[in-house]
Amino acid sequence: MATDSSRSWKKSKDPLYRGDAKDAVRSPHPSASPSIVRHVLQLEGPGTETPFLSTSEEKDYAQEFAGRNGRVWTALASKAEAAGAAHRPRKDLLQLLRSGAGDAAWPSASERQEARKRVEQWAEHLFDFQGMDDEATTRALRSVFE
Amino acid sequence: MNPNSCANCWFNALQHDTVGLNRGFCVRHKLVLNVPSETTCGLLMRKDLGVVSAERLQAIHSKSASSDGPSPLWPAGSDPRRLTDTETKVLEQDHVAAEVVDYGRVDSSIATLARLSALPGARAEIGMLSLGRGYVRNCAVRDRRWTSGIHLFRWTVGKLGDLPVLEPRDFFVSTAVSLGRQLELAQWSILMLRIRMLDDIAHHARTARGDVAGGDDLAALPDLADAAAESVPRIEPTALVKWIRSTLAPRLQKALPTSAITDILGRVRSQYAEAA
Repeated sequence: MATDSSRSWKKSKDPLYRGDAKDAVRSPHPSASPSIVRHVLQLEGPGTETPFLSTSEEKDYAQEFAGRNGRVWTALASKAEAAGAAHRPRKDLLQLLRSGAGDAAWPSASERQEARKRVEQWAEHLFDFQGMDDEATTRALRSVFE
Repeated sequence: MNPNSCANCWFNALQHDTVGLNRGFCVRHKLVLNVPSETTCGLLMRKDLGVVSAERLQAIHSKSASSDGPSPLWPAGSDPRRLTDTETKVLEQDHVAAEVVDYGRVDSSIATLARLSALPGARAEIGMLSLGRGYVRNCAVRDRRWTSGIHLFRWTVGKLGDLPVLEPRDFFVSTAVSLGRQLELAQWSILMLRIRMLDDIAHHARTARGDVAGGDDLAALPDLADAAAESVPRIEPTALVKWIRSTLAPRLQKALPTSAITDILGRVRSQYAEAA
């Protein structure tokens, strides 16, 4: 049974989980639109290109995205930051999506709210690869995800 | 739950947000969806979006996903036969699923929607709203008459200010939040689905043919889901119900009063009688 992870997740010790292909984590697109709403709601369809990678505090939710033929990858936020990616924690995302500021700006208030519901519901964090080149991104993925 | 999966499609009326059975049913392809969160198809119409955004996304998605039937979201290595079934007997033991499977088969679509509207419980309402959104769009696309949605308008407005009632057995998946909060998020999602249904009908009134009278004030309404989100930024169902009762319901009553609904119902009945 899932606990209320909003109280228990600690950046210093708890991992984040990502469901993805078995052989490798799919690469983000650092130069794509940095819209958080577009990313969370996947508004260009499956595989929407964004500079973000989604992770969750909950392994079970990450398994949904791994499906039957993928796997759940584990990462530490501190490692992502050391590799050059920004960690955008759940609490910051919720605040941004409520205000609509910065990368959470979006013309539809209800879609922004739907994205906020998803972030809360699935304890979502983002790794943000904006500004990184392809080589640095590839290196980061290899070192961050286990 | 993947937002671009069958679990989030309005043609699968057995699930919405985290509420529903652990299997879905696609009324377009007439298939049981064994793992609806892992399949998709090019006909996807997302329940969490308004009709304009849903249509836009469907146009994009149809370029890469087949419309012939549900296929795996991650194709490599998946066995598509495992993900769907044609046999519906066991699924139909559930009273809501029985209606959904019957949709458009034996009785008319609107008759099934009427029965779903009359059944108690949130899952029946999800069934009515999911299929209803597809029904009104289909009518609007086919003959540009928004008035075909008048029954769905009436049924949705009738329950608009009621807090959806949910029990733990109504959830098919657990989430990262507590059960109490999961219940609140699910209630909120159903309230927003009601509002999206009304938004859809207003949208179709805007694009209706010129000889279909009665929808001008409805067509003039702003995006109701956005108005709800701006007026009630907290994702709390009780706060949203309060706004619905104090602001949205009176606004809708003004845009389409009971007398106008009665008049439209009479015209729709005449159209059906002429067509028969």
